[in-house]
Amino acid sequence: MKIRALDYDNLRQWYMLSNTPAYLYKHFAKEETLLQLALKSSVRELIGIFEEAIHDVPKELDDLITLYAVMIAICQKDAMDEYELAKDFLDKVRQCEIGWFEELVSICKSTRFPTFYAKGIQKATLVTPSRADTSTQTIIDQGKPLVTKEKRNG
Amino acid sequence: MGIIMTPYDTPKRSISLQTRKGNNVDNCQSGFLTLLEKSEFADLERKYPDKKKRTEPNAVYNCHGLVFGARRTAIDDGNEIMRKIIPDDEYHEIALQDVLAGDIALYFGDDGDIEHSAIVVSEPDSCVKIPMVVSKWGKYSEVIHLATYCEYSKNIKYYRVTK
Repeated sequence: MKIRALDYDNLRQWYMLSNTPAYLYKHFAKEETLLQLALKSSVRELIGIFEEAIHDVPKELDDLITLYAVMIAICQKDAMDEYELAKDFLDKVRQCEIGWFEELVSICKSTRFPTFYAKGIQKATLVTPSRADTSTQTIIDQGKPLVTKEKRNG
Repeated sequence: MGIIMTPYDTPKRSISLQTRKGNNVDNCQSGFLTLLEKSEFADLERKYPDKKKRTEPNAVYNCHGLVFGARRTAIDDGNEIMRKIIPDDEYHEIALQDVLAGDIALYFGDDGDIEHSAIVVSEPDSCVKIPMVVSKWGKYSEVIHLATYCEYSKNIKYYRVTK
């Protein structure tokens, strides 16, 4: 399955030259059409595209590139309201037996979602501000705020 | 008839690989080149006509596996190189004008990551002040080329083990 908005010639070139998953991730994540795809689509839409694309065994290299591209596009999403959705998706696709997927998910998690996944953080402490206003929670490690997250009820 | 492999089937295997000081180096042999991938090599060959192809395409080792793993396996994490191999094996950076055959070339991305590596096969001459290297481009072949005649970063540093 191909996505019209993606520049497959460019992505294919990066794929063919990739010696390591980090190289593939880095260059895909900088690719203009992939970033546009990420910008214009919600995480939910991207997951839908991915699920459709993974349904069939890839017949062409571009089918495989679609899977990499959509997964990496999801990793570029910053919207906090879709954070959990993206995180759950990455946990699921890690199990896909596609070359480098496990490594790419690890890279994505450590670069885009470092608070929850970064190696070496022994214990992230959830601190509720002592002030009466507790509309936000700050997750800290060694005194440094890593991310501020809207507190949700229910 | 060729074997039709999809990336879904690619098995993983690693071998014992250590630095001089005995630290383990993470590595992975995939071994399989899919027909999908093979079909794309022609583009690379057209784009870089002045390189000299040295081997058939293969997925057993990558560029770092060529340089640091004796062509036995792929080293997928570039950080293993700077963190373990360079210090443990006592590589020292050398200036371009001092490069000799046998030295290694590391290609650094804008973010400081090692993107690619190669082995110098001939020193820069007085005319073209760029060494020739042998390197491996992804799952494609080993190729001999001017160090800068490739798609990888042009921020190249050279290293040598002296003892």
